[in-house]
Amino acid sequence: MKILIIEDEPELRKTVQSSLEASSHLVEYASDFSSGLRKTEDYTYDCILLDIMLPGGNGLDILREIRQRHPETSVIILSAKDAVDDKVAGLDLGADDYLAKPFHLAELHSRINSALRRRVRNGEDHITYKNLKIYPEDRTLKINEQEVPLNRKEYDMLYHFMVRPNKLLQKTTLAESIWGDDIDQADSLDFIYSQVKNLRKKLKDNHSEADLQAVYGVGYKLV
Amino acid sequence: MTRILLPVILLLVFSGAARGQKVQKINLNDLPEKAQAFIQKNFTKEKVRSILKETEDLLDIEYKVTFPDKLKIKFDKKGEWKEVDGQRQPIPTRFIPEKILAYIQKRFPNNEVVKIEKDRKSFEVEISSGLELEFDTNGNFIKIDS
Amino acid sequence: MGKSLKTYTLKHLVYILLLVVAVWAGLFYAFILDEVYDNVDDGLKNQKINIIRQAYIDSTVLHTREFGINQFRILPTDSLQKANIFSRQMIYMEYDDEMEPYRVLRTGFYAPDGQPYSLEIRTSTVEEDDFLINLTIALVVLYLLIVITLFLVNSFVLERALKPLKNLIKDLQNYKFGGNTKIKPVNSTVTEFIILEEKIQEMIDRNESLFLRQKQFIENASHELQTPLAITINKLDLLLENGDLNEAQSTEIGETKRALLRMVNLNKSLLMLSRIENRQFEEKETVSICAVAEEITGQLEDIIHFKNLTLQLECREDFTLYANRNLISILVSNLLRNAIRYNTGQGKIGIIISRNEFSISNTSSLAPLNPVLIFERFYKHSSDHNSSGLGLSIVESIINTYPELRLEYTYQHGRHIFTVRK
Repeated sequence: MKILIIEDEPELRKTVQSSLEASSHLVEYASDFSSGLRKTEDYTYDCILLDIMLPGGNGLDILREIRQRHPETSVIILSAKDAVDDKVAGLDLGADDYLAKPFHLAELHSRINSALRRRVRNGEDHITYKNLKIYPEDRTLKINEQEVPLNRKEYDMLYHFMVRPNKLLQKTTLAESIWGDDIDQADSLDFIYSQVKNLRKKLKDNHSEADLQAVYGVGYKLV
Repeated sequence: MTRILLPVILLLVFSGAARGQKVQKINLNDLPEKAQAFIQKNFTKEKVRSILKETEDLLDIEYKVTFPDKLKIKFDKKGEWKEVDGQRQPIPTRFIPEKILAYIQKRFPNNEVVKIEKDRKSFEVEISSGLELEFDTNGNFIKIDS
Repeated sequence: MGKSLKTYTLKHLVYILLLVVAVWAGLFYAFILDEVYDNVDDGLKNQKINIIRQAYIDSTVLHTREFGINQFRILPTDSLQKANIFSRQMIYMEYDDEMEPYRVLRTGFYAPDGQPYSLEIRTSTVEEDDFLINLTIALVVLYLLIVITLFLVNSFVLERALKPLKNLIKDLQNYKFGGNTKIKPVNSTVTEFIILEEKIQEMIDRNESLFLRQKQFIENASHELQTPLAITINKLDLLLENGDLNEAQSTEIGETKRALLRMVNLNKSLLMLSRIENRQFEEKETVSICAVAEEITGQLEDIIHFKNLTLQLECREDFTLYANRNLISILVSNLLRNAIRYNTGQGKIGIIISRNEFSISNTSSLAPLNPVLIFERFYKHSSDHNSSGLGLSIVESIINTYPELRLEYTYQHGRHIFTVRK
């Protein structure tokens, strides 16, 4: 997918770019308001990551531009302000999602995926890995074409793994993505361990060819 | 008469002493000139019976002249008459301003003057019926004290 | 609450009115009464003069021994009472067949022959008495009219005069910090109101400006604090993701990231505290604690289940309040998370909600807490390295935002209990 990052903090931009490129996305970037605006005017992208605190202007203005010219582009707002007004304003103006910094890269991947999926109507309605198929619209899982019931949290977990197979998904990322800030640090690791254990069992019991492999106690990856 | 007068005088003297009032019996000759002339002119029918000189607080002197028929006249210290009281009997009217007499005659026929008082501002006249009339110093009628 | 200015003014006004006008009316009546009777008496006195005068002209007058048409009689007497004695008598009148009020003058004079006589003259005061009754009625009516009119006029005038003030007050009541409400201009020529409006607008503008500056400061602080953390965390993510590390290295980086995440949480909490205290959560709605509790319990049920805790949610009667939903969510969430965090294995959590209070209680391995210290910022129970220590401070801050709420901590039956009361 072709992704544009409009972010003025170079280190942040570089890191995100690396991560996205590692997942075979094509990444371009702009680091201020005017160049960001220009890029959106001149080119089309599948997804735009937009920091609203930009030198030279308010990112929300660029958002308006994008919405006018490229209604099919997914836009995810990145913000360090974590201000509720911005979130509401952004979503009202038509952004697909809002991610507060600092975010986990894995989370970013997941959101990009969801956003793209929502916009691209003629895209596939499922994600496949080995003999697993998940359908984001219905939030269902099919193994070997057989539906396997998952509860909400199990689905969310699996979704994160399915979006980036073979990539390490840290326990902390999982914890925060699915259980939010509610989870406290000390317990989260054991807790995630037990949740993942349950999910693995479910997959195994339903003849999944894919498995969740533990990585050094830091996280897991879908293999 | 003396028997009645004397205790009266004594009473007056003593009560007067408490207030600073002095009462003296005097003679006709001791009256101020004006008073004597007044009496001589208007009251010739009888002779004066007694005259009392009342001194109040050393400043105010009043002369009280009594006649046998009970008629009384009061004079001030200058000898100007202040009051002529006929005690229900008509009094001589020669000294009374014409205007007053004329008024009485016209408005109250058959009435006599039985008493008259004079002060700086007015005359107060009592007539036979008992009514009291007030006149100004020029003899103009002011009102009836009814 | 205090009573309205109008009521206050009118109340005092009415007392004064009632008193003053009553006194005036009374005096007036007395005066008229006096005048009326003086008139009558003067008439009688005039008659006396005429009668006496006539008696001196026509002696037959002296023989008027009975009250006839002329309403006087003359009787011989022994002792003369020259003084005028007035009296009122009720006398039976033939023509009306009833008792009527009369004014009688009794006096005395001397006949031409010098004999004393008593003279009685009388006159009917029916008309005068009727007049006085009518006057009384008229005065009462007038009094009432005056009082009512003054009252109404004052009411009306006050209403109009105070209208700008009322509008100002209404605007003030609706004023929300940061809500950008403008005070409607006061259409009044009253200096005081004009000045008041001006000054209030100035104050509001200052407030708003301050609020905005603070808001921007917090937002900028947030940005500046979080950005370096974001960079660091993401770089660590990259390192981990690229998979070239051995176990030891991965673990180290994992730990590093966790430490950084602690910092992130700390920042978030501090910023939250700042925001709460800067009144950035002004949007209010009717919030149901039962609903909020259910929602949060739902979100946390996995963890509760995982830790083998039993949670009992009892919604006896809904506790509702007009507040910012986000804040209340955070309030309940923080309390519940503490209840989970500091619980024993197989422990219990109880949430009881009733109309005027709700409480969250939990069993615990900890001894009873110090009710004063626990709300201090950064106060942590010594064993916990992972909590920011700000959870309860935030809770307290939220409670302070709503003056009608009070928070209480007690330790009873082996449970720590946090209660919020209205």
